[in-house]
Amino acid sequence: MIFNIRINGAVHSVDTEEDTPLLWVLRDILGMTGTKFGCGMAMCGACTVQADGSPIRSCVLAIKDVGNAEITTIEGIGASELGKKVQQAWLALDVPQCGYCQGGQILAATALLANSPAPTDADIDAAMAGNICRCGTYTRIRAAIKQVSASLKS
Amino acid sequence: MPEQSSDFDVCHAVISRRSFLIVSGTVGGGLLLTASFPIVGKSAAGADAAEHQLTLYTRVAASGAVTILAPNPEVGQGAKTSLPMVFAEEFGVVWKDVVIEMADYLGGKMGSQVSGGSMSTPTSWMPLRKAGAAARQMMINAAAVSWKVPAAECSAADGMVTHAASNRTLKYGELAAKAAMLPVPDPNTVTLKDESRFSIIGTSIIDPDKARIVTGAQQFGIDVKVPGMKYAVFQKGPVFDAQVGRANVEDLKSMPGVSHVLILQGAPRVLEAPPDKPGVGIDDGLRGGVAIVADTWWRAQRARKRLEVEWTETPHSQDSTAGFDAQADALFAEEPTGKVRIDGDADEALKRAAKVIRARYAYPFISHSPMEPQNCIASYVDGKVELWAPTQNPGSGRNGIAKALGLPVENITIHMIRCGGGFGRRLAVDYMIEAAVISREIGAPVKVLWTREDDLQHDFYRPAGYHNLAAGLDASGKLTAWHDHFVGFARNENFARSAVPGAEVFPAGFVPNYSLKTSQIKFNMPIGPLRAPGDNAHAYVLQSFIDECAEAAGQDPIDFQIQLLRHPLPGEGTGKGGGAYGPGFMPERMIVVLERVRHMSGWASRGSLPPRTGMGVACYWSHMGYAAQVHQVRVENDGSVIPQKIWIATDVGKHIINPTNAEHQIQGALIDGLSAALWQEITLNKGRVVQNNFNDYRLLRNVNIPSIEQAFVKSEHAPTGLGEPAYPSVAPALCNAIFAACGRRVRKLPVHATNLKT
Amino acid sequence: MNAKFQHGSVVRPILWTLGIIAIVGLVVVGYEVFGPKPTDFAAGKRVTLEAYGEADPSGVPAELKAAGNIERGEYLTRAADCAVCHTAKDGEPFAGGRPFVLPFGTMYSTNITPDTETGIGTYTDANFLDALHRGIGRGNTKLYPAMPYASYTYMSDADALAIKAYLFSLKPVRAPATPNALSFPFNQRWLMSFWSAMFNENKRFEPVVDRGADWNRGAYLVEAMGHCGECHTPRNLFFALNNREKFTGAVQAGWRAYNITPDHASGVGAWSDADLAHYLSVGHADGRGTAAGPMGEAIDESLSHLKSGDIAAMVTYLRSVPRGASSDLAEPKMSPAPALQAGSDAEQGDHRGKQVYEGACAGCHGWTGISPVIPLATLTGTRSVNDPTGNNVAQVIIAGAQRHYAIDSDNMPAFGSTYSDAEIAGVANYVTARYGAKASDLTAESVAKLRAAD
Repeated sequence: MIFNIRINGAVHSVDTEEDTPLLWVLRDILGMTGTKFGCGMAMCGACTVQADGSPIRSCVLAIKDVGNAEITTIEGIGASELGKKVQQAWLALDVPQCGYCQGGQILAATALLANSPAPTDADIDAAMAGNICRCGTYTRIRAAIKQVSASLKS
Repeated sequence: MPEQSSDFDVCHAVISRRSFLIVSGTVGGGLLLTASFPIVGKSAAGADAAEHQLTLYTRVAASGAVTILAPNPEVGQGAKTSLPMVFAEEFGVVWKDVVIEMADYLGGKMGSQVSGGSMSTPTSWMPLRKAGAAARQMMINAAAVSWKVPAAECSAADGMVTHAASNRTLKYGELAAKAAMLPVPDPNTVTLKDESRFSIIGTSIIDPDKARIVTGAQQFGIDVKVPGMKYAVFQKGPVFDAQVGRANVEDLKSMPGVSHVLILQGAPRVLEAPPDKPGVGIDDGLRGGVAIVADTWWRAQRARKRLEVEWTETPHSQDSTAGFDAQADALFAEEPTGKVRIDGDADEALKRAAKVIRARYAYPFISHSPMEPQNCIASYVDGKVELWAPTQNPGSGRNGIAKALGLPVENITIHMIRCGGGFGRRLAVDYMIEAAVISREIGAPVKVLWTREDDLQHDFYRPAGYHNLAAGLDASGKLTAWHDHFVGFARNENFARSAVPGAEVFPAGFVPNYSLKTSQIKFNMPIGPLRAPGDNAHAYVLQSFIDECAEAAGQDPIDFQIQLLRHPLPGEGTGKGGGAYGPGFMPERMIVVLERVRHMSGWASRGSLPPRTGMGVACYWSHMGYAAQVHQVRVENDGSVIPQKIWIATDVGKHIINPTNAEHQIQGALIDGLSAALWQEITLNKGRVVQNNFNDYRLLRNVNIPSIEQAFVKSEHAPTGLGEPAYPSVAPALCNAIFAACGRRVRKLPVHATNLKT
Repeated sequence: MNAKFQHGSVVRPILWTLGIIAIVGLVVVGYEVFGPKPTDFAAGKRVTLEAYGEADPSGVPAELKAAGNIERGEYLTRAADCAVCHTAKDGEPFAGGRPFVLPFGTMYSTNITPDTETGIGTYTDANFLDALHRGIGRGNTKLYPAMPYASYTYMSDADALAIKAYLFSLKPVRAPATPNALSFPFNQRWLMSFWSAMFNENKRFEPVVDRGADWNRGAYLVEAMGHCGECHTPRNLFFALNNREKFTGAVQAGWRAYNITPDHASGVGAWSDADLAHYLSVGHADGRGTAAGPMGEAIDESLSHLKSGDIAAMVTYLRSVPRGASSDLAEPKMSPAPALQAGSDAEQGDHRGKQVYEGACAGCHGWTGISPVIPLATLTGTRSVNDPTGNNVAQVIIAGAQRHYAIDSDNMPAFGSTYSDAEIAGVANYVTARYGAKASDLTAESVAKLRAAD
């Protein structure tokens, strides 16, 4: 079946089974490998993309349910000012370790900051707890989010 | 080299390598290490070529851009950056001119190129410094020739050579072509930089990959795609080493995108380390299963849901954790069948002791679960195999594939790709063999990708173990007797690798009457090294039981251990038993980190913490690093454990190559250790692993993190690695803090299994 | 002289008291014993199955009328849902050994494969009918009503024997019965004779003439085969079904079997026929609920195998039962929660529950109750989330829920092994508060009890 989906501002036409998760459409069909596979059941967050600005786990979103949503991936998040700021903070604080989870972390963090430019620790918990980091970079992720938040104030 | 730290055959590989030195014709020289690095100077296609090769490690362009090869694969531990930093320091370049390139596996010419055992730093420190110095000397020599002055009058730094007397300089870029033509100096004759003038080592340099990571451009193994590539899933038996009896292969072939459905026969697992070679390799050959190949991974995985397989029975189809536990109990009632170390007469000393403490401890199998599931891309063409592998162990990969396919090792090329975590999992090469075999069968390149369930259920686990301990104190509270009956897992006459505590593990050598004896449980689970192999389990038991002894003696646990450390038995505690990379255990270094963490944590005032909040301490020597940590936890009335704070002091020698990276390694090890201690276990029922995914194999999330304060204690020893040393003492520090908080001992991991309710 | 008068004056009040107790007791027993039978609510003339002229409500549906005996027997075995009770976890089908944890001990189901030593291989047709209809096993063993013979008694002889034929076509499995562990007096089987006498009608199904073929088929499937009341109808003092509160729900093995009467707020009155049919066929209805635990098993092993005509008949029947309210069940809240708000929202609700939810749950279930990714994961409007006891929410978190009707069956994973009682209580309370009509108030202790009951 043919599906037309909007990714990072461009429309892609994809022919695949309707139950194909968006994650695998991105990775194997469209060749966009920035979004990662970690668990296949929305428990780790490595597959996080944004749909109309909200973070979702693409490993359990079937392509038939994507509809007209504007999908943003790690490859496209830097197109927005906020996304770029988040990426820069991630580098400034040397957040990644192995780096595998960080695409998902950045997508979730950017969505949080877009909705709440001054998030509390509880807000950060709620937005980011779904993203596991096996290497344990959580402290720096939180610090980077707060750094971006501080820069948004000024 | 201490027994428990050798978890693969690096030592053997290094010793067996031959030297390829061009100049002097001498072989090996003083340090065996350098013999492993044939240092070849060659120029690419003449003087007009853009880049010029100096030693195996660097190419310099006329523009001055310096490419430095990273010899050891990157799993997030930072070796891809820190090792080139060492080379760059001696080479004398400016870091902003450096481009890092991951080396391919060079068949031993660059050493073993293994990332494991926290060994990258210690094994590479001197060889890379010497190689860098040799390359620097080549630049100096080239300039001296050009200026017709003695080389001794020239110096090199910041990417240029200077002749001070005539005030002339030449940049590396200008010299590269000529330098590349010169003979490479004997690494034993080069002058190393004065360590006090290090300008790169000791600075916090960010891995250049990270700029790509934050835009999604950095490739991990799972991301590699080659032309004509197919995708495969590989279903192995739920019981280890079962073979395929029957499978509904034909039903699957008609599913969308599926091109092949293959039944592969595997080899039985036989290897287990002989006692004199505890580090002998992981038994990771090809196992039996069904491979489904399709044009996308999802289509292969989709077809897999329709797969029905009848597996053969194995003698271990009824194995269970409950069964193992019962066997351990039965074995404790009998005499041990083996022994590791006996000093004095522990049985007698226990009889005479003023106080005897007894306890049984147990810890489960655990899994590595790196974030990136196992995967590999292989392309088999005409008896040659090219692989793109997220691996920690390319040499073993080559050997394993050569053996599985009956090919000469030279026919196998391995490109090392960045790994989404290693933790020791990627020292095994099973998934590389799978990819190579499937590629040969289908005559096309293939990417084999495991699901998270595959990864959890076909890991090479950290072995479980059981300890039956007794300790005796004299009237003054001094430890006079120590008796440990260890029950662990064995496939044949040998224990699984890293299962048994070593003969030198503290407090061995510090208690006059000491006995460590063993008994075996037969099993067939795959076992492999997991972050601080051996240590990660034994530390929990030994440091928890020492805490029980301190409590029985009515002493401060830190004081108790320091007293012990101050009084090694004659001939012990002198750093004996060390290896090429560093001395054996030196108790004075442990005392230093214990004192440091005592001070950092405010240990003296722990008595004034609120109710059900407590502090606990543990220390451990692992992979040549010394770590002491104090945990503060709160235990809620309903039994929930809330880690609040961790203080840790570590001694890994004189230099921290990359301070930010080092801090991050410590943080990561602490969080990793907490996850394992709080929740993790791999259990068996009817021969199969019970756990499936992150719902029943739990990892710490951002909401569970305690605050962490850390310090590096520098000591006058060559730098050693950091991936592992902080990890072993996490579990016991946590459990000792739980005891301080609520008066209950956690004698079995994970903590989750113990009732801590009021 | 005084003693004589005193004696008389003490005895008489005692006799009076005893007499009153006996009368009250008889009234109570009579009340229970002579309570309504499962279809008594339906007024109308009843006839025997043989006398019923129209489409026979017993037997197999039209699609299978021409099938062989074994195939028909298989269908009826599915309809009667024998497999779930008579199969242990990881055990051979029908070989017994499944434990039933009851207030008075644990009993185990028996082996009904045709093994001659440990199964029912020596049963004659008469033995089999005695077991199903009268609760009497071969050798005159009295069966416990955990075997729902008081419901199966309504099954026709032909259907019962078709089931026997199917069971006898299976491979015999040697599996000796696990002895029951029941406390006195419940371990006295002979007492079951009294129970049967009081509570087993021992009568075959009698169609109600005026209700039509569809209703009667549905009644037969629900009462004689599916025995839905055995879970969904509360029990009286004697552990028999209290049909005065028919289908208003009960707790079985730690799971709440919900009110399936047409009551609007606490039953299924608001569900459409399509909702009900879909739920019975696949175990899910959008915005209503998903079958898990014992009902999940019933869907998987029984209901999902029934033909659509039979499902429709069951729906027809269910629509007709009397409305009965469950006073503790709130009317489901159909409106979603607002999207996660910064600041205050993040502080609301059970703190530990929120910590668990944001890490392990939000990825599939979202923050409004409408799942952004998997329709099956939508919580808004579902019965369990709108149950202020939080019973089934906690159980689903512990055990997970698996549906099997798509190639990529969406599974709720099981969290019980690595999440503590306190965490599960917290997150159940958080979910019912955020998405449901009324928050539950579970504690670690109550979750521990739920685990033990399942």
